[in-house]
Amino acid sequence: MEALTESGIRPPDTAAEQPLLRVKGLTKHYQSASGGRIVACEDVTFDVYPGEVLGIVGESGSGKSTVLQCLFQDVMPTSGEAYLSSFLGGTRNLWEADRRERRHLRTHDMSMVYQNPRQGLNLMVTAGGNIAERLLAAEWRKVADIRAKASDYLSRTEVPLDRMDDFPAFFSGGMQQRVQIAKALANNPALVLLDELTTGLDVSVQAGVLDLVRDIQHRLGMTAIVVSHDLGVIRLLADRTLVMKDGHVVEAGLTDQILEDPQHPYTQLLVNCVTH
Amino acid sequence: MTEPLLSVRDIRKQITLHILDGKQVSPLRGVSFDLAPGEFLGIVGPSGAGKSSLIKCLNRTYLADGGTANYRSASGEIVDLLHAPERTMIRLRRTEIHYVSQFLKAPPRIPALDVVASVIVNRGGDPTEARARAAETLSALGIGPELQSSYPSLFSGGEQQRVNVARALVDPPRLLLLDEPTSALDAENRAKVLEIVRRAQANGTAMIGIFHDIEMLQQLADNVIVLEDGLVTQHGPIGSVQIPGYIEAGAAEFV
Repeated sequence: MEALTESGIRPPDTAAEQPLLRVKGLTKHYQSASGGRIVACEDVTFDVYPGEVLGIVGESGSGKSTVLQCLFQDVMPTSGEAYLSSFLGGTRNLWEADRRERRHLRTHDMSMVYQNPRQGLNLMVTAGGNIAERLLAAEWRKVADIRAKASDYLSRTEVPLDRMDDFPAFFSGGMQQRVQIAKALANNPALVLLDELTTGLDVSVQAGVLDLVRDIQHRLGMTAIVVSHDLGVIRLLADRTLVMKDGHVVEAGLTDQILEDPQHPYTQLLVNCVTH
Repeated sequence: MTEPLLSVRDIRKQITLHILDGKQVSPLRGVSFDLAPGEFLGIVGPSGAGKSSLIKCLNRTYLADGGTANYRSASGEIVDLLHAPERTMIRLRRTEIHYVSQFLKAPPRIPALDVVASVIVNRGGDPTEARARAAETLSALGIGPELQSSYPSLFSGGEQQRVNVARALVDPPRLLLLDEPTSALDAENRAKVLEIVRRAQANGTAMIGIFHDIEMLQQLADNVIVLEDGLVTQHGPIGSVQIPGYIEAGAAEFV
C-alpha cells in the first residue's frame, strides 16, 4: 500500500490559492500621559483569502479595532507589514505607501464600516450624497451613473429610496448603519472592514443588519474582516476567527472549532460567557 | 483490495478545561481504522465513550492532539484532516465532506428551503435548480411546502433533525459524518431517513455514523466499531460484532 499513513500535509489545490491580504507582525504602541508604553496590539499576523470573512473577537481594549484602524490608515502602526494583492500588485507594504497611494487605498481598495456611523458618514450630507462622495473619491464622474449606483445600493441595504435625499442625522441608528454599509460597498472595494457594526443597536435591528451583511456576502462574495466582541456575530459571519486579548492573538482557527473546542483559557471563558 | 477513502491512525484527543482549574478529560486515547470508498461504518458505545469527539476531530470541529486521518480527496490527493490548512478544510467541507450534528445549527431567519438549497449553491450550483432539489429532498423527509418556507428555528426537534439530514443528502458528499441524526425521530420518520441514506449509499457516499438505534445500524452499516473509554474494543462486519446491550436500551429512551 502506498504511503497513506504518513503524516505529511499535502493540501490539494488550496495550496495555489493566494491571500488577498497578508499582515505580518503588526504592532502599535502608544505613549501614556506618564510616559509609559501602552501596547494596543503586538505582533499580529494573519492572512485573508479572497471571498472569505475573517472574524476577530475579543473584549474592549484587546486591540482588535486597532488592527482595522491600522489597515485603513486611520492610525499608523509602530511596526509591521501588510500587503494587499489588489494594491500595486501586492508589492508595497501598506504602511510604507505615500500620501497619494494611501488615499487610493482608502478610496478604491478598502472601505470601513465604523461602530459609530458618525465616523463613516457625513450626517449633514444626504444619504445619496454620502454614497456619491465615496464614488467621486473613487473617480466616478457621471452624475447619472452615481445617482443610479447610490439608489441601487440603498435599495440593496433596504434604505427606503424616498429617504435618499434626506440627511442621515435624522435617521434611526439601524438605518444610519445601513447607509454606512451601502457607502462602504458602493464602489466594490477589494476588502471591507467591519468594526462592531451591530454594537449599540436594538437586538431586532442588529438581526436586520447582520442578515443584510450575510446576504451581501453570499451574493457578492465580498472579502471582509469582521471585528466584534459578540461571538454570535462571529458565528454568523466568519469562516475563520482570531481571538485577541491584551493586544495579542491568543488563538486562531475555524470558527466552529473556536466555539466548540476553544484551546486558550481566555477563549474558553469567552465561549462559556455566551448566554444563548 | 481498494485503497481506503480514509485511513485513521491513533487519533488522540485531550481536553483541558481551564475554567475548571485545568481539569483534563481524554475522550480519545488512540483510535485507528480504515474506511473503504462507499463503506458505511457504524460507531457504537456508551455515552462519554468518545463517539462524537471522533467525528468532530475528523471534521476539525475539534483539534486532535495526536494521530492522523488521511483522506483521499476527489482529486486523488491525500489530505490529513487533522492537520491540513484551515482553508483546505473549508474547501473540503464545502465540496466533499459533510458533518451532520445531532442538533441543527442553521443560521437564523432563513427558510428551511434556502438552508438546504444553500449547500448546492455554495458548491457553485444553479440557485433555481438547487431550490427544486431542496424541495424534493425535504418532501421526501416529510417536510412539506408549508414548513419549507418557515424558519427551522421554529420547528420541533424531529423536524429540525430532518432539515439537517436534508442538508447532508440534497447533494450527497463523498464522505458523510453522522452524529445521531435520528435521535429525535419516530419510526415512520426514521424509515424516511433510512430510505434517503440508502439512496446516497447507492450513489457511492461513504459514511461514518453514530446510531443509538440498533435497527438503523443493522440496515445500513457494513462494519461497526465499538468504542469504549476512548478506545476501539471491537471492529468488524455488522454480523460479527457483539453489539453491547446498552445500544437498544439507549434507543428505547427516544422512541
